[in-house]
Amino acid sequence: METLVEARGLVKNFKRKDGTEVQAVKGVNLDIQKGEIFSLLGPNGAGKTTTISMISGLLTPTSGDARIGGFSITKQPMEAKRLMGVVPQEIALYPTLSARQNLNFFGRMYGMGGAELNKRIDEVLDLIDLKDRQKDKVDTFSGGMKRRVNIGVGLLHRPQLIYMDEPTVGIDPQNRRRILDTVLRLRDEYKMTVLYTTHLMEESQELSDRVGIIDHGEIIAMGTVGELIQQVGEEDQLVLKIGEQTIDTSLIERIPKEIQGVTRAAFEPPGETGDQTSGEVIVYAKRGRKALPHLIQIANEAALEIMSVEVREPDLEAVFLHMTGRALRD
Amino acid sequence: MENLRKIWTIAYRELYSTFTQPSLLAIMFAAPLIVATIISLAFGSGGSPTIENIPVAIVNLDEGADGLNSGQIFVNAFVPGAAETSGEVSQQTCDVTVSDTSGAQTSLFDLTDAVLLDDPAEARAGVDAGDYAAAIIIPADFTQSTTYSQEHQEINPTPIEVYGDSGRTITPGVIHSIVESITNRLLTGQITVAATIDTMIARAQADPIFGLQFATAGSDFQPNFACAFTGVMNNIRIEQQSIAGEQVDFNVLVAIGSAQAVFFALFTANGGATSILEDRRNWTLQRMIVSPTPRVVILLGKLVGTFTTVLVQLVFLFIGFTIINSFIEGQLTFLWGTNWIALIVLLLATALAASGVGMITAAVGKTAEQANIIGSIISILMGMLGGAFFQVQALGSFEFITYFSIVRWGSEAFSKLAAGNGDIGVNVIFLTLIGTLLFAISLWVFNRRQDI
Ligand SMILES: Nc1ncnc2c1ncn2[C@@H]1O[C@H](COP(=O)(O)OP(=O)(O)OP(=O)(O)O)[C@@H](O)[C@H]1O
Ligand SMILES: [Mg+2]
Repeated sequence: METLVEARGLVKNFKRKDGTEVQAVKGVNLDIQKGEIFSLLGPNGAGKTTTISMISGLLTPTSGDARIGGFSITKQPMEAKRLMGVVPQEIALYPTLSARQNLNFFGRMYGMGGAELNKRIDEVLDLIDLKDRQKDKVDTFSGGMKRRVNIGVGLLHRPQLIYMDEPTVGIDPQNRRRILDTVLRLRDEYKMTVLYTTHLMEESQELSDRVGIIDHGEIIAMGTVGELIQQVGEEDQLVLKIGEQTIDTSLIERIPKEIQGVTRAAFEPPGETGDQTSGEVIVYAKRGRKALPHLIQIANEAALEIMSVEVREPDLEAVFLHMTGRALRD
Repeated sequence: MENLRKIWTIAYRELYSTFTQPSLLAIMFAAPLIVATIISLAFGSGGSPTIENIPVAIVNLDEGADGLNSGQIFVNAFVPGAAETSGEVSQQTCDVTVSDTSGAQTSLFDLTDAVLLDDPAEARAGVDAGDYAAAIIIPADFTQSTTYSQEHQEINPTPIEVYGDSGRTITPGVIHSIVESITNRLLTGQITVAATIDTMIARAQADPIFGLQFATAGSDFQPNFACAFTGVMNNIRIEQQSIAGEQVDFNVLVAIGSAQAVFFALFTANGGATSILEDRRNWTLQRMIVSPTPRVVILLGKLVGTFTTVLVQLVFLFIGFTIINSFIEGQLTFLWGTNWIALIVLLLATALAASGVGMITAAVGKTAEQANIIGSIISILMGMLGGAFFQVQALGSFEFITYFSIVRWGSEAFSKLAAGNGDIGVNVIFLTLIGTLLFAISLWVFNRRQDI
């Protein structure tokens, strides 16, 4: 395996308006392998954009450096920049130019031109499915269409590496699906390497070969989705919703004793957390689906009426919760 | 090569966005034409401007000779009523008419507003302070040097000094040629009289009776030089510097128009340069920076775009003013002269200076809005100072402060060209240097900026 992006000890301090310093990124190390989708998962303000800005040559690191295909981003920026495409978190387009004009302009910034550029623009327009609107000004586009053009610009010069900073932020599920499919195609069809940032656990889980979880400017966990989940244990969560009914604590205590594989059980009455309107029995088990029939049997014996049953497999959300004690979403 | 192409791509994008924005075009092109024309019509007298009252100081140091003071002739010609108060019995007021090549005639008393002073230093200082367009200083031995006698047969006049205000384009030239003209008339008169006297002396020698009469006439025989100018000779024709030229100089459209053009060019340059901050806001600047494009290329692209926009604007405006003026005058006149090379060089230098001013506000501004406000304030200050709204001569001895404004440096040179005076080297060099310097500073600031 060849390492395409190798970041060492990246630190970025910002000066606040009041003169105090904030350390947005606190010594990040990254190794992104050729041909993989690596996602950087973290909540708002975690330092994802700041990290991408440093490894794309937009911000000079306060300390540390990154090598892109062997070129130092601080010392050989032009060589390093040639290798990468960048899709910023913001829509980085000229609003009064058409989609095609935008592609044309930025293509030239990568040294392309002439018939080759025109052909490539056609290909990219096909890929982002905007051929029929190519002549329209970008500011007449929907959010999802702008996002697609934003991605298209990053792909123009056929880079082997692309950074995508929250490319699905603020768009509808249909457009989101399209973008996620495109990202997978980039890896599978075009053999590209993708660095993808998101604060959505589902996206990270679906796309990534490997994930880095970032919080408060530090990478707190890194590995494949499977590896990360293993770190927190492989237990499933069985959630039985029982509405307003009350439940005997002796019943809860019975569950781990009687059902094989169950490690513990708990009851959360309604209103305990967030907007939960129903009481929940939460059961942790090595193999949740196997424990389920027995669990339902016990509930029936206790004359509990079950409104719904849900099996939650362990996910990155759980990993984040485990590592930080906070939920990813807020 | 690749970088040159990128510079042009950035510049072209800039031009494209500017020239496809109708509201911007209206401000760039229509507004200055309209504003300058309105101001000119309000101040000026339309198509037939007349010049009057060129402020002139005259100092007569002439000690005279044989009861004659030729210097006083100049005083009489320039200062109305001077003859009566001079105490020189032989003097009389003469109203000299000045005409230019086009045939326009003006009384010298109307053309100038002359003041008689005693001290040449005071007169020169007055010129330096902008109180007078020129000072005429008649040397002590002027009469002596122009007097013809048997001992002094060669007339070799000590030149009269015309000390001109270098800031004025051609008024000193007009005064100079009037003085020269009068001197020539005077000498012609002297020689005629001298020749007559020679003839009389010769006749007296041959004719004793006439000789006796001639001798007894004594002091009564005083040739009257007071008005060596009578009849046809009373009309001075100025060939070198036409009054029409001077009229163009006073054509408010030239003064206000060129200042307005440079003033609006500053606005345009500012808008063009601050587009770099708009690019920052819509993240297109960041996209350029993450592409393999050095920052200097990005800034040069902006400079070329801004420069070209300003140049197009200036050319358009100067053509526009020419057309407007031709309409007013009813015939096609090249308002800005026909020294095309000088005009082109000056246009380039002005566009560069304006772009430099725009760049610096863009380099230090935090947001496009902030930079636009700073830029507008600078443009308006420079416009006011530089004569976009009034004639700079109105400032009198404070006129020097107008040179803090590149509007003044530009419009002064354009006015000179309009008056057929190609002496604009200093202005061109200044404008080019200031443009280059400001661009270099902006580049340095922009390269060091971290908050991109
Ligand atoms: N230019 C700046 N000046 C000061 N502070 C900054 C600047 N840019 C970012 N920060 C701070 O650095 C931290 C990390 O910001 P960053 O944008 O990298 O987070 P992020 O993970 O991309 O968040 P999001 O999901 O909201 O995009 C935040 O606390 C942010 O407020
Ligand atoms: Mg971000």
